[in-house]
Amino acid sequence: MFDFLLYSIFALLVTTMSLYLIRHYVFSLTALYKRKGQPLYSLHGLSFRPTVSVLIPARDEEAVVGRLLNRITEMTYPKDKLEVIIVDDASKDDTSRIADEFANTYAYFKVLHRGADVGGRGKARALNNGVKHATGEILICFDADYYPQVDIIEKLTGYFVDPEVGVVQGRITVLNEPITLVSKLVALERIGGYRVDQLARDNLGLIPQCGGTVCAIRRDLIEYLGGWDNNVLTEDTDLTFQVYEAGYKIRYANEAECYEEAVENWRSYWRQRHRWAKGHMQCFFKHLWSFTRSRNLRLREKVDGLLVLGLYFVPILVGLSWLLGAVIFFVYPVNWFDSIWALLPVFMYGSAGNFASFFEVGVGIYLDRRVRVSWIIPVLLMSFVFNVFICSKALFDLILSKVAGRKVHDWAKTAHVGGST
Amino acid sequence: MTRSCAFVFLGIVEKLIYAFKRIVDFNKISERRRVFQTLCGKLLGAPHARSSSARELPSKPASKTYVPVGLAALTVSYSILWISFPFFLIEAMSSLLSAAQVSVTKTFSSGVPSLIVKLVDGSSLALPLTWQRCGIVSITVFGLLFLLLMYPLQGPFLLKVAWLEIGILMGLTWSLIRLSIAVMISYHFGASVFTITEFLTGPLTDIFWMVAVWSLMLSSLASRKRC
Repeated sequence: MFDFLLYSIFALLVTTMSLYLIRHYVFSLTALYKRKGQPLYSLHGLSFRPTVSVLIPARDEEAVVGRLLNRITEMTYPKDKLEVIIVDDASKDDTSRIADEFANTYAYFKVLHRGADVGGRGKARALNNGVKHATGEILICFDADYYPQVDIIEKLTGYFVDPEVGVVQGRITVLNEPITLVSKLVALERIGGYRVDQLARDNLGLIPQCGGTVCAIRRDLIEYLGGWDNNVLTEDTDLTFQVYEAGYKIRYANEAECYEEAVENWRSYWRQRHRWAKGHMQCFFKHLWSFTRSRNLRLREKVDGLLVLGLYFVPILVGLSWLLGAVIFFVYPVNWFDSIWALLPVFMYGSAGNFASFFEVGVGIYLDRRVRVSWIIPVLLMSFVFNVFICSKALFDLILSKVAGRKVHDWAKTAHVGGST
Repeated sequence: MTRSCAFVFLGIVEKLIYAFKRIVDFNKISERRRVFQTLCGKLLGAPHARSSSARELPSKPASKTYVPVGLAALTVSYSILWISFPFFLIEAMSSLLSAAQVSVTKTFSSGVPSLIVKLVDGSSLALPLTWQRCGIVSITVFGLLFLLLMYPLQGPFLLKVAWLEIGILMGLTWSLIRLSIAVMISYHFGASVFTITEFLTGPLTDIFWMVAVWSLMLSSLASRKRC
C-alpha cells in the first residue's frame, strides 16, 4: 500500500513536470515560428493620445531616481497630457530632495511625501496613494531604478484603443548585465521570461502577466478593483488575475522596452525571489477558486492561469521528485523504474528553471541575436537549485504566517546602487 | 598575300569564338560557379559564404525539409550507436581500468555485455551494461530534441550535423567517465557504494552536457544570424 502511494506521488510529480515541459516547448516554438506582428503605437493609422499619469514609488532610491526622472523629461509624449507622480515612501536619504527639485523645475511633476508612520510598508500602499492623486486616464508604473525608451508611453498606450484591454505590459531588459554572474543570470531569466514566454502568451491569446512595473493600466479599472492589494507581496500577479476575473485582457508590448538594474549578489537575489515566491503563493491560494470558477475566461486561459499560479511550486515539486526518486531507487528497486529514472533528464531539461526553462532562454537569446551570453545558460541550473531552497523557505514562511494568523507580511525592498548608466 | 592570309585567319578565329560562345555561355558558367561555391561555402560553414554573391542564391528551403534530412542523419548516427555503443563502452572501460591497475574481465553472455571488476576487498562487482545504464536514453533524448528544436533554426546544415555529432560524442564520453568514476569508487570503498555513485553521477547530471552543447550551438548559430 505504501509502495503504491509512493509510486503514485512520483507519477503525479512527473506528470506535473511534463505539463510545464510541454508548456515551455509550446511557448518556445510559438516565439520562434508564430511571428504574429504586434501592432505599433499608431494602430490603424490612429493617433490615440490619452492623458497619462506616471507613478513612481520610491524608497531610498537617491542613487537611481534622478536618472529616471531626467529620462522622463526627455520623453516624446505630449507634456500637456502627461503627469508624473513620485511617491516618496518615507525615504531616509536624498530621494525626496531630488524629487522636489524636479517638481520645482517641471510643472507636470508632483511629489507625494509619505511619512515614516505610514510609509515603507510595501509598494502596493505607495501606488494606492499615488492613484488617489492621479488624474490621467491611463496609469503607467515605473520602479525608480528603471530606464525607459523615450517613446515607451506611445507604445504602451496604443493598445488601449481596444476597449477590452485593461493592462499593457512592456518588456524589461537588464541594464547592468555584465557586472556580476548573478546579474547575467537574471538577464537570461528576463530574456526567456519576456522575449519568449510573455510574447508567446500574447500571441496565443493566453495570459500575459503584469510585471508590476513598465505596465500601463486604465485608471477606472484599478479604481473599480479597489486598488492594489496591500496584503499581497506580489501586487502585480494579484492584479493580473483580478484583471482577468473582471473580464479585461492584458497585452504584452515587446517593442516597449525598459532597462532595469538587476540584483548583483546572491543575498539580494535571495531576498527578492523569496518575496516573489511568497507573494506568488499568496496569489495561488487567493485566486485558485475564483479564477477557476470565473465565467469571463476561456478554458485555455484558465489552464494557462493555473500553470502561472503554480509556477513557484515547480522548484519544490522538482526537488521532491529528486528525493522521491532517490528513495524509490535505493529502497524499492524495480526494473521498470530504471526506464523512468533514465528519462528524468528530459523532465529536468524541460521544466527546470523558475520562469523559463533552458531552451526557452536559449530561444530568447537566439531571437535577440545574442552570442556570448548563451555560454552561461548551463549555469542557470545553479539559480534553479537556489530557487528550490528559496521557494521551499517561502512556502514554509507562508504556512507559518497562516498558522500564526498574520496578515501583514514584511516587505523586503531591493537595494539599488545605480552603478550602470 | 600575307595580309590576306592574316585577315582570313582572324576571320576564322572570330567565327570560332562566336560559335563557342553560342554553345557555352560564359556568363552562365561564372554564375553557376559562383552559386556552387557559395553553396559549398554555406554547407561547410565557411566565412566567405557571407559574400555578396550569397544574395543571388534562391530563397532558403523551408524549415520542413530540414527535419526529414536531420532525421536521416540522426537515424544513421543512432543505428551505429545502438549496435556498437555497449561494446565500445566495455572495451574503453576495461582499457581505462586496466591502465589504473584494476583487474577486470569482460563477458558477453546472455546478450548483455558485462564487466566483472575485482575490488580491493577481494569481492567482485558485476556490471551489466544495460541500455538504461550506458546512457543511450540520454543521448537519444538529446538527439530528438536537437532534431525537433535545433534543425529548423536558420544556419548551415552541416554545422548542425556537426553539433549533433559533437553532442553524441559528449554523451558517449560522459557515460564512459561517470561509469568509470562509479567503478573506481566502488573498487576502493566496496560494492555497496556503487549504487550511490551511480545515482549521483546518473541521468540527473546528463542535463549538464546536454544544455552545454546546445548552448554552444545556439551561440554559433546566433553569431551567423547576426553577421
